[in-house]
Amino acid sequence: MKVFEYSTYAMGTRFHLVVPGWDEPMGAAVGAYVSRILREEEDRMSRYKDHSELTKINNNALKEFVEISEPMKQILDECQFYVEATKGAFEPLLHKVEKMAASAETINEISSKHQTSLWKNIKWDDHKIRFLSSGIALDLGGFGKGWAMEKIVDCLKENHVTSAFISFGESTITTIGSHPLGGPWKTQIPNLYHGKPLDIELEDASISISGLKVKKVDGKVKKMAHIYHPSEERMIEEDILMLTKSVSPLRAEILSTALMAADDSQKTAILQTFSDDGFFECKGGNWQMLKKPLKQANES
Amino acid sequence: MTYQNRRTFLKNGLVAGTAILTPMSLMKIMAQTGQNVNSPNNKVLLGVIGTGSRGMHLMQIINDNKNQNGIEIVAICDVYKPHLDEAQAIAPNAKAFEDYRDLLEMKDLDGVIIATPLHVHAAPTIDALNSGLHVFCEKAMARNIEDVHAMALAHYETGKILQIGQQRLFDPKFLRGMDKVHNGDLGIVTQIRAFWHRNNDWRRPVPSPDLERFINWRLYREYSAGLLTELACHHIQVGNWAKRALPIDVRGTGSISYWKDGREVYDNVALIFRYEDGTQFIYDSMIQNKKYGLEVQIMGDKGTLEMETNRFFLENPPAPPKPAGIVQLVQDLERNVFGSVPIGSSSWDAELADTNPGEPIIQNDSTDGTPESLTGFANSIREGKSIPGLFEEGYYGTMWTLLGEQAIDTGEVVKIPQQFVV
Ligand SMILES: NC(=O)c1ccc[n+]([C@@H]2O[C@H](COP(=O)([O-])OP(=O)(O)OC[C@H]3O[C@@H](n4cnc5c(N)ncnc54)[C@H](O)[C@@H]3O)[C@@H](O)[C@H]2O)c1
Repeated sequence: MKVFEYSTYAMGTRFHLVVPGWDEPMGAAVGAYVSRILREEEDRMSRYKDHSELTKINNNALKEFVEISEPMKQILDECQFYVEATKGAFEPLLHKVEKMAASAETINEISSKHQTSLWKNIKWDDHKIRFLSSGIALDLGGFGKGWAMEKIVDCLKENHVTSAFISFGESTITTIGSHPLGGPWKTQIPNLYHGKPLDIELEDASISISGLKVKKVDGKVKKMAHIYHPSEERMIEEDILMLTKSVSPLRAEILSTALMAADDSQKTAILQTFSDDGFFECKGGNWQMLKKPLKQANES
Repeated sequence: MTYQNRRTFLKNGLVAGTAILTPMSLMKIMAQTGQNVNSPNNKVLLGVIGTGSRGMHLMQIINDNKNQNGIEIVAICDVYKPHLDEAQAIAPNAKAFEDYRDLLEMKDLDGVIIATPLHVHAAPTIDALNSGLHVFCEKAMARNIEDVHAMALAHYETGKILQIGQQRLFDPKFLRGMDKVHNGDLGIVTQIRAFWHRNNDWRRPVPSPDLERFINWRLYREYSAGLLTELACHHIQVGNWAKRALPIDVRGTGSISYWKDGREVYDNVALIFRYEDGTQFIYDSMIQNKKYGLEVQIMGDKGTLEMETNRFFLENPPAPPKPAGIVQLVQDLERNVFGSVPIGSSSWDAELADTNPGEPIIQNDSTDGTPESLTGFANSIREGKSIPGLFEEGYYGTMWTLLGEQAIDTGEVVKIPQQFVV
């Protein structure tokens, strides 16, 4: 069969869309829409762009009220929901963000100043936002790809795409409809340390995987900490993977990150609250289901 | 080559004004850099006429790069004593003059650098060439096209080197960028945009009111065409260089829109140059907003150069490498095979964070070409010959700048009068 493929760099990683049954002339238009969504969302949420809405907020919201767009308000409301639902394991507000990504020494130095519940230090309404404490910054790193993916899925469906496979940085994977040859899409998620992979089937569903960041340094693969543990006030160094399966790519992304950072009570809260979703953990070479999802419970 | 010979050569061979100048010829000259330039017979002895802000800057650069250029400043000249004294501190052994004609009579001089105000370029240049000296004259060449042409004639007739201070011709990112334009990396170039924006009154402090016109010569039409001769001529030269052609005509507008302080030159200008092949070169400059700074954008169907900021953008940037799982998925689908997709990792660290940040034209962008242009001048003197096409770049850069001024002043579409084609 014909296959349309669209690949690009976005949000600091690579994005791949595969639409079976489509060809280049048909796909070109949706490729352009997808590219526009990715650019718009990056311009809104990137911490690395001087002119993004997020950068403007981070630079000014301590001094004065900063006007926010309707989508930014929706993003903040969405964050609010997940901060509450994960009992603070999801933390889109960071203390001294720039330092946080730096060396371990720096992280230790600042962690003592870190407060567990930062989120209460921002206030917003329909039109404006204000930071109530100094040294904080919004960071939508564990949110942006999922958010953009939701917009992309809506756009593809509006444009009559009924079957598609989308990978965003390989850490967030979304499917539309079923495989063109029938039945759900089958994926095989690699294990750490060459252990047995995890088979997951996807039909109008998404998965997101969190763990240490994989970076190639001088041709060698290195794993780097990039998620902060709010309650233990440290970067997460354990080499584990957390996988969440959900109908929503945004929820999958948020919860897989939150689970990496969650303590036991937060973990329990997440598993209880999101009982429709599926959660898997890969530790020491074994994939293990944290909670059998009530729906779509067909994983091996 | 004498002027007559050159005209015949052009008539028989090349279309007038199309650059014979190649980045390669400049690179070759630069490659000679540092080759024993400091041995006594290899030293190039220069005088500097006009030791104001630019003149002293050039002297400083010469001193800082002695090992590359092998230039010794043996004479300085300025009609304004405070500037002459300051320059003497940079070149303590140089002989000081207040009248350039006395400087030109010095023995053992190889050449002069002229960094006087625009209206004082032509006379010292022509006098120096006629005295058998090589000349490095700051851009723009002169205040009117007749003087510009007279300077060209003096250069061709004396056979002495005349190099105009268009330093972009020696700037590695412009050299490499032009290579890209000329070898087709941008595809077909049909539009060039350039702009130079600042936000200040462009005035210099004046110690006493009777020195206003002398110090702030840039603001008065008798001495300068303002933004056009002081800034635009740099980019107008680059436009012609990129097209390897001369415009067929220019139109433009200008106004004093903001700095209504008694100045006579426009503070806001726009020009459009047209080229034979349909290319438009759109230029503008102003001094009441600096957000966009300065840039030259050369646009083809395959790519764009942003020369001042050292960036090259492909119209269709390469797609990221595909993860193995996606490659397998596509192969399976194309063969109607239902396979499982091996995919998934915690986070893939991109080699490229931005969607299309472009790529640098050159690594280590560390010079604006001025030191290299002075070294190039000294090397040309050592070789006893001009770099082919280099003078003409400067000539047409200024010529089309002044024609642009005419277009603005008259509101007409202006072409180059045939007698000014060299
Ligand atoms: N290539 C570049 O990027 C660049 C940059 C700045 C200036 N320039 C050019 O350099 C030239 C000088 O500009 P500037 O900013 O140094 O101006 P300036 O006013 O600071 O200096 C001009 C100097 O010439 C002197 N002078 C005037 N008449 C003279 C005469 N008859 N004989 C000897 N000296 C005389 C003045 O006293 C003054 O010291 C201009 O043509 C300008 O366009 C080029």
